Amino acid sequence: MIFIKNRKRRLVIIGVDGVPYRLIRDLSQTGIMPHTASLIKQGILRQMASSIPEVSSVAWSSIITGKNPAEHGIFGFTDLAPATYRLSFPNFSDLKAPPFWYHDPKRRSVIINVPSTYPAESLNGVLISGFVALDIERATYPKTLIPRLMDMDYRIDVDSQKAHSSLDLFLKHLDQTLKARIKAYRYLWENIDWDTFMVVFTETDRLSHFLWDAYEDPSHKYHQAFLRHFSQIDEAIGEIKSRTNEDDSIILLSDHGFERTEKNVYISSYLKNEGFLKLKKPSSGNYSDIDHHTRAFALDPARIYIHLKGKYPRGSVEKEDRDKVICDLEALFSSIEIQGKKVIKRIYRKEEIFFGPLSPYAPDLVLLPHQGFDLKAGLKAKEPYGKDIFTGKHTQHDAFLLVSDHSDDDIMPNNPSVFDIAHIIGRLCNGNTTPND
Amino acid sequence: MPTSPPLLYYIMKSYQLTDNCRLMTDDFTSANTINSMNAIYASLKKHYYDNLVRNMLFYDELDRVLRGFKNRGIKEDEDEISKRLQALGYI
Repeated sequence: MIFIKNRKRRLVIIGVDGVPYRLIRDLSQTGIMPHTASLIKQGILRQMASSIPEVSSVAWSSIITGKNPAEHGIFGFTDLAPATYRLSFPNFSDLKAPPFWYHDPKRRSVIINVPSTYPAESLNGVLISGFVALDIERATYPKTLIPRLMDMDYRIDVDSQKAHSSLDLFLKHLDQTLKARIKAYRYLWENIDWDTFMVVFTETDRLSHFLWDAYEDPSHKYHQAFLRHFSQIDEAIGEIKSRTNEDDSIILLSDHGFERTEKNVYISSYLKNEGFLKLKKPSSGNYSDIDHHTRAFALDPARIYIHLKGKYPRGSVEKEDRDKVICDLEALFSSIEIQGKKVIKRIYRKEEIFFGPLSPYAPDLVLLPHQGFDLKAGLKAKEPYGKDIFTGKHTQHDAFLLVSDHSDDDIMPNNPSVFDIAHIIGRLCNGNTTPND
Repeated sequence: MPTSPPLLYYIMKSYQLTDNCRLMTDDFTSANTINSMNAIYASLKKHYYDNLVRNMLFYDELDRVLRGFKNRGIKEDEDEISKRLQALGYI
């Protein structure tokens, strides 16, 4: 008689930050990413909708919790502290819904470099925080792992500041960061008896911010460097795949897409010009200078807040006037054109996209731009639009999701979004759905 | 700290944080160590998750407690965070 040990199903999740569906499909078909191509053949690849707004902090928080921002509480990289004008930076401590690794405490998880998981908190397993983690000591659980990470020259993130002075130096640093990340995953793969293994490569997002033009232009000085980086990512994906067992499931995904930036558009500049936003000092970049005549203000990337009386210290808009201000703002934003091109593709009201107990903290409007326009709050901006060093920008509609498991025909939604991932993880691990489903 | 004593009592009783009870009800600035604050914070956060949808009033009040703890815990270097976000054009 043969006795088979009743093992939990293992799950591997590989994240590639900011990689659009279009790019993963194209590079797989053109031979730059052969290992990914082979994974696509074995599984199901779909275009996936990101969060709104399409920034990593919101998207990854939604991915790991399966919850709406009005349930998990992360609406952007910044917020105003309640009842103040002080800019705050929400982190993992502000996440109000449990990530999937707390759903089944018996499963041991290794979680590497998921954005917005800083500071690291205890779990059954290992967690190394991702962007914006400042200090490796507070980014690592358990702390006994820190000396090993130091030996590997582990880096939490690429020093993106380098790209502002030298793209060569930036690419060198990008390469070193990826190599250290790969070393860390290898070590943890081999030394931890895990059930769920998640690693996110964020270097892809950094590269695309500065060199998306190099991807699109084969004659660009850094075109080959761009492709080489994705080839390295593919090698890592192939290596991870080769280490899995037949029964293991693999999810490969991104959190948002990317496209070329034509122009930055500064929302606050329009708000100021049309009299919605008044600052005590007109060129101030400080939210504490918001004057009591202000009816609306913006936080990055394109979140609009009505300056409600009672909600903000100098709030002036009465509750019953909120709808009127919203209508006026919709009229303003839907009319914006730059060089004959409409800028705003869609204006979302809070009630359309945010559902949960934290909706009072949600922005009243969120703007989604047409192709090529990168929306910024731009409190300090003097001009309504401009251009800077960045050649690539996030997109909301074309993240991607690949699931390798065929055992459950219904596992992949027809139109997946980042909010479906925790549910899929629950089903792949043990056939369970997330706790609140 | 704008929290009601019954709420604090309820949390303490639920988690038997008798030793730390003094810390919460006394002046926050006299906290013994960051570690003990973090221990309370972790317990509160778990309770917070468990009651997320069930009791909105409790939820709001607990949110203030958690924010208070966070603010009095380790202060993040917000200038550095700001710099890193700016380097990527996020703010």
